[in-house]
Amino acid sequence: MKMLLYSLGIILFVSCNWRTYKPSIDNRDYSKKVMGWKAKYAADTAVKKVKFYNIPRPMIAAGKIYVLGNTIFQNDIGKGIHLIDNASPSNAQRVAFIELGGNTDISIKGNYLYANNYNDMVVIDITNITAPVEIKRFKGVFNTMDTQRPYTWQAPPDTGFYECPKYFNDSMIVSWVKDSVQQFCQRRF
Amino acid sequence: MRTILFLFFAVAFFSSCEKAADSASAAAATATGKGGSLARFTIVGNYLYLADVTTLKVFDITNPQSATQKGSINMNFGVETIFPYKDKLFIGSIDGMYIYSITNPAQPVLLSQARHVRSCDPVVANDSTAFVTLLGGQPCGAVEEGLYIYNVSNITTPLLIKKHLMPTPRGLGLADSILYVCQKNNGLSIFNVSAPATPVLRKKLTTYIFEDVIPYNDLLICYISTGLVLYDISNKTNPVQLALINN
Repeated sequence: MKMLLYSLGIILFVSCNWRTYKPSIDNRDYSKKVMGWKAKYAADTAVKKVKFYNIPRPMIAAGKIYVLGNTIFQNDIGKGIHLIDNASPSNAQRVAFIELGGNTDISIKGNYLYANNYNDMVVIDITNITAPVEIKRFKGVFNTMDTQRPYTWQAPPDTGFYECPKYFNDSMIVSWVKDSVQQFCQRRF
Repeated sequence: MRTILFLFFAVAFFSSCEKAADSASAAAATATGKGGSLARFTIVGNYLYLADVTTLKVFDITNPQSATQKGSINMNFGVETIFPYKDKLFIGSIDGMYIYSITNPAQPVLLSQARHVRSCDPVVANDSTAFVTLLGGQPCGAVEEGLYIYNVSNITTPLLIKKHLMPTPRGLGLADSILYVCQKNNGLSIFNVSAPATPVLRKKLTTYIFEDVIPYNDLLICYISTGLVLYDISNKTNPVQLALINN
């Protein structure tokens, strides 16, 4: 029985795909739960979409920047894109927000904005900036796990043990909450 | 006579305006914006290039409605930044700088690489020089942090010509011979790099926690820890703050 549990532990561990495991320096007790992180999941249909707000909102976690013409775009890590009116730089200010879960990056050509929405790449027609339209979606093109610097939805926001993620075809991890978890997957940095 | 002259100039002026407006709007419809040095994907011409950790993915976006993925090129572990310059892509990864030719845009070809110790390292470049910052610490790796300058005149054999040690370097931006280097808690350093092997520190701002920059004509757009700060850089080595948009 013990043997079975032990091998189950190893299997679970290996499936974590998390390289930072170092058995030689670890003294973790797999039977004991500790405070860590638990993933919250949501249906793709609920979170893989573009939503536009014609009013500014506060920055939660400032991210990367992009500029085209009189508009500056700034990512809010994992949340979406702030639009900054830069027609007069000394009066530049946020004017709108594109909600796009899991977003970190932006690029634009002409009237089309390209952005990551969790692991998808979406193409958004911004011809009418107050009514952006999603015209194309590449599913799962941001799919590689960098164990040291995971995409925002792939691992908890801070170090600690976390419930190893499960992968589904129709739902995504959307956030992480503090919870009591087993000592398998661990974010070290 | 006066009236005729006036009419003539008025018509000439008006028609030239119209022409300018026409070409401006045509350009706007296909114009590509400018990203920071930390960007993970970029657009060059009709193609979008995405650095997805271990693969460089290529998308044909000639027609955005029917954009298609054209290919996927295996790279080493830990690719995270991509900087386009003319017909080349400079890619920053955890173990070095990779230079790809996109002369054939659908099929990037590896020209060279400058391997170095493990670090986090965005790149900017011009015709002859590539500037790379190496950030150490967790999770980036143990490294002599600083600005690493490569001569890339011979694109197939990048040559390290200067290692300028400085703490916590992050995003960077190049405006002609002036280089802006973000240093997180250590501010923003402004170098004259007209002689690339001997960068000269001209000014240092320590007002904010600087992450990345985009020099955009006379404007320096800075990503700081709490948002955005804009500087007038009509004098490139003496930025004057115009706006702070944070929290």
